[in-house]
Amino acid sequence: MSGLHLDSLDIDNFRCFQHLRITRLGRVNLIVGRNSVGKTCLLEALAVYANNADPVILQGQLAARNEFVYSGEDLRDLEQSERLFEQYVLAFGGFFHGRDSRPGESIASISTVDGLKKVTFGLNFFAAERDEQGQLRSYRVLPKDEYDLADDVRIRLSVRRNAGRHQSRALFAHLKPGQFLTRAEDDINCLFIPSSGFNNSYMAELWDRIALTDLEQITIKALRSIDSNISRYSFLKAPPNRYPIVKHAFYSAPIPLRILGHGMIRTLGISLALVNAKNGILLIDEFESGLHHTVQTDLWRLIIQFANQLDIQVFATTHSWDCVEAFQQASAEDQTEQSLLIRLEKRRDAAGIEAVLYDKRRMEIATREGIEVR
Amino acid sequence: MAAKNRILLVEGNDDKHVLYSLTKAYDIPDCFEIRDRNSEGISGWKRIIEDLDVELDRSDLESLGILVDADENPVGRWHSIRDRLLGLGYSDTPVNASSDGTIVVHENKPTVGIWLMPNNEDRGMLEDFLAALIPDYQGNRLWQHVTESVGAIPREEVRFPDARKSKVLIHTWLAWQNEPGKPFGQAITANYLSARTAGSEALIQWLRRLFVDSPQSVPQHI
Repeated sequence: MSGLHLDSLDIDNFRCFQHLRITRLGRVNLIVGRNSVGKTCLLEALAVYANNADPVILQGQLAARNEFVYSGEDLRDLEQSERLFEQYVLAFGGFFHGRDSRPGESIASISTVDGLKKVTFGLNFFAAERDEQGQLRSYRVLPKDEYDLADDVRIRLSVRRNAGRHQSRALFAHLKPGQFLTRAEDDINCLFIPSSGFNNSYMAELWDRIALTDLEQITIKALRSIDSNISRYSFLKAPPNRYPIVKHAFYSAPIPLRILGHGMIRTLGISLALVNAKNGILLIDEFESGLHHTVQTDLWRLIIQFANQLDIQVFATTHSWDCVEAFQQASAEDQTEQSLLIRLEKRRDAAGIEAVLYDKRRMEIATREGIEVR
Repeated sequence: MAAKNRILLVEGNDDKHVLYSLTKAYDIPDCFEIRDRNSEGISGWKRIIEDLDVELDRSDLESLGILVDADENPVGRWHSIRDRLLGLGYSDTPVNASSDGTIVVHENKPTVGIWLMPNNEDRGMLEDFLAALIPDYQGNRLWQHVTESVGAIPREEVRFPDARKSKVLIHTWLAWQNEPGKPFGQAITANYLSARTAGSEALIQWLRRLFVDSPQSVPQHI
């Protein structure tokens, strides 16, 4: 077991966070709080950090929020249409506090509190320099106060990791549906489970990477914690998709996992993501989605155990009291004491959002005295 | 407004029932919850001080009252509370406890009120506070008889330490009523102890200021 990817967190100018500081992070972190305090935002910030603000990740986040939905398989259309490009830049402003996509306002950063680990990303604006014949000579960085005057502006994504150089990248990345992101050398292995879960094809891809390994046993263990009649599972091809099937003691032939309920699919998704997140970061939005409270404690136990063994840092969000209780119970049993409950809330003095932390001691007191932590 | 957002912490069950009866007698709106922190092996006082950081982080909490016994050392007890509050960021916590009951306000934290039994100044506990609720406390002949009788116990038969003498007195007083041995809360309702005295007046005013009248530092929600 080695150190955590992030021992603390500072987020600046990212979405709903003008500034958010979390002074301490655990190995397994459960994030609670009311609607619109930014629980999902926090997961998105972590995904941006882990992937060095890769344009594919950014595009995916905009699409998931319906902020920019494109049709067609090829984003090249997008680059060629000025109207679409403008729409995209406007939508891109959604990444910054105040939804501002103008020069100087559109820079966000995600870092540890000491600033030693840091990803900064933003929009870079360049103005075209033309000679007297109208031929393009060069591009120069466009100062903030000239933005409204310039008519030939080129916009690039600028990314900086730690104390490295600013990297200029295209705002769009071409990625066909189902295609995987190629990880750059300094990217952190990061999986994000949306509240709606993975689709079957993606789960099949995750399974392909671990089939017949010891890691596969962990996923079987997760399914068996809900229904011990399950002995194995696999994926069946039904072009263009694949879907999970299981061997169940009550049936002689394999049955689709889905007929055992949504909780089974959720559990398979979470456990597949867990074992694929080795040495990386696992993000789970709305953990409880589809899960009956009786299975949540077992699932948390599994996550805590393998987060330690496989050196994964986990961040999950929830609205559910059941989920908080299950998490408290599983983390009370954990001897490493590296679990943390984090409540995001709006500050009383209206100066943004702050985080309230509950470690093992504070969770125990809250449980014993019936103190509401959500 | 949900009652649970304003909470009064007390050391034990007796405190809780005395407070119930007093708030009823004074018609205080039912806008706060009284919780006792009595548990096995650890005193209510210790529990309240140790757990205070978590109590104050209860989600949506608006104000928290702490009602504890001064015991033998009111100044020392006040300093323990003050140090804890300063450590939790309540930088405006006054150097001395206010005789009217202290209230500390913070722009980004729940309001905190502190009451040291019996009256924020003297040594003592709940039972000393209750003694002041005896009707016509100074000239009451039965009370005079109680104190004289307890005082006349032969030294070798005294089975309680001096620190518990006020407990002995109040229980003796309650033993010699029409219905002997009523618990404190019911004794107030039965008027064996009078809610309407100067002693309880100040406590009631503190509760009103803390939970009813004062503007609350309310968590922001959309």
